Amino acid sequence: MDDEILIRFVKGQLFGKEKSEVINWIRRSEANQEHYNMLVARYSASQFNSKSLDTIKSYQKVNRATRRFKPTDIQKTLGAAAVLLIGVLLFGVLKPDTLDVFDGGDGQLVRAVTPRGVSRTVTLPDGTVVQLNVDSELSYPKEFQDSIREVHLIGEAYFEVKRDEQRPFVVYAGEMNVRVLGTSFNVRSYRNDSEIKTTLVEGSVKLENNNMKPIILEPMQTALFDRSEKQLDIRDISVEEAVSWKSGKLVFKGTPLKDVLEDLERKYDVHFRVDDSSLYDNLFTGTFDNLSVEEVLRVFRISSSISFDKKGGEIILYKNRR
Amino acid sequence: MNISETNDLLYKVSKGDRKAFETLYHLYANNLYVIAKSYCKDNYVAEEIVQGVFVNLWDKRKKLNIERNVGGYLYQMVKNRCMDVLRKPLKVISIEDEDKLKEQYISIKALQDERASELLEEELKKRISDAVALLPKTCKKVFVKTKLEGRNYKQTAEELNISVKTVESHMTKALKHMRLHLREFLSCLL
Repeated sequence: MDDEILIRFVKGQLFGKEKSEVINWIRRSEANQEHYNMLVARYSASQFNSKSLDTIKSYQKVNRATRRFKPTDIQKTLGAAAVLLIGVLLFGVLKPDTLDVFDGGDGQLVRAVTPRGVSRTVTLPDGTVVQLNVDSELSYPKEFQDSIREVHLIGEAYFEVKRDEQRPFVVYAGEMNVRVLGTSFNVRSYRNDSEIKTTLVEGSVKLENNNMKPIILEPMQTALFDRSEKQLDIRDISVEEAVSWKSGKLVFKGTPLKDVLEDLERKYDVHFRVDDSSLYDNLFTGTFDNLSVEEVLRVFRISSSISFDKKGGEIILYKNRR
Repeated sequence: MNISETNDLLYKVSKGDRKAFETLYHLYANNLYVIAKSYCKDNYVAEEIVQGVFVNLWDKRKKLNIERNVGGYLYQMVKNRCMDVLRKPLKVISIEDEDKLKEQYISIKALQDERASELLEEELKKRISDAVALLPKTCKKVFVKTKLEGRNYKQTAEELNISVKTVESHMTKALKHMRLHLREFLSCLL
């Protein structure tokens, strides 16, 4: 392929068929891609010190953004309700086979269970509304006690807790307890996961665990509790990441293939087999807004070196030898 | 200007020096923009990436590792942001638009190429030092002190043990030289 055409491609001057040809040429071999890589770098360097950007004008925006007073908490504008998200990433040992709420064998306990591919809403005796994500289980007493409201979660759920300051609401999610006085939050707690993930969108919650002092989480923060290391790590998070599953989205951010597949298996009730363990090195970033499983796989095929093959009830992943 | 001199700018930024921050922007923004544009293929996005990198630099100024070469530092930040941008549009993907996706994948691979990265990082450092290096010795000192270290003429004169008038005449010379060599992207600075 002629370097001149490649440079026109870098400049964004190619369209339609011409562009497709260049793209296909680059993707044809590792050597072509490497040739292109160096060409882009050399072309960019050749454009250094050209006046491509009006830095006086463009600095104005930087100037404004860096001088601006940053409100300490956006949450103030969001009102009083606390929205909390808790995630315990535990992988698919549990395979609930019923969607029904039924009386458990042990006394007054009620269990709400969702299978893979199905989520549902449950209303608790105190009026708290829980949206239960796929492949999850929530257990709670038929009647809450007078002093405390306690529920147990495996999987993921979004809680809108009825405010009752006399009776704190506690979610037991793996080794992590989440205590709130009222308001809304989300818990994700799948069984074999390495981390317990708690995210607060609004309000305030307390995290408790035997190994540490209780921690009050701030809005828009995620607490990741590493179950083997017993370490707690606090990070900032966006609302979109926090509650995406509720609107049917899957959000990945530098997520390892293994975790991505687990999520897909849960959401679409499919089964994957990985042909080549080197594929596990792949990290994925992106949001899938209610795509079908076929569409998701297609995106992966185009944007990575992974190919898929359907055989029987399984989807087999193998390395793309393009 | 050598590495320690541009890093002096970074040190000043870490101490909250607005002038040093602006100088850094004018020194690097154009070339970083060129890089971002080559990979993201979008002028608007490229400009936003560069602006974002500098806003982030300012926000994190207290935690900056000032030992690192500023050019390499800024390049890495631009690179990371390009990667983020290139990976993100999966969000609005229309399945029909495979070429765009393939193009992004190509750019991601190109960004991950270490040899290409080294080349860009080196060139980025070189371009700026080259022009300054060509200045006559005292001229260079005067230029670096006043333009890059943010001293005024009087301070510069005292530090170099010369008169303010001499500083002025060196500056005139230096500016003329710089206009010739870095005409475009330093014009705003001079």
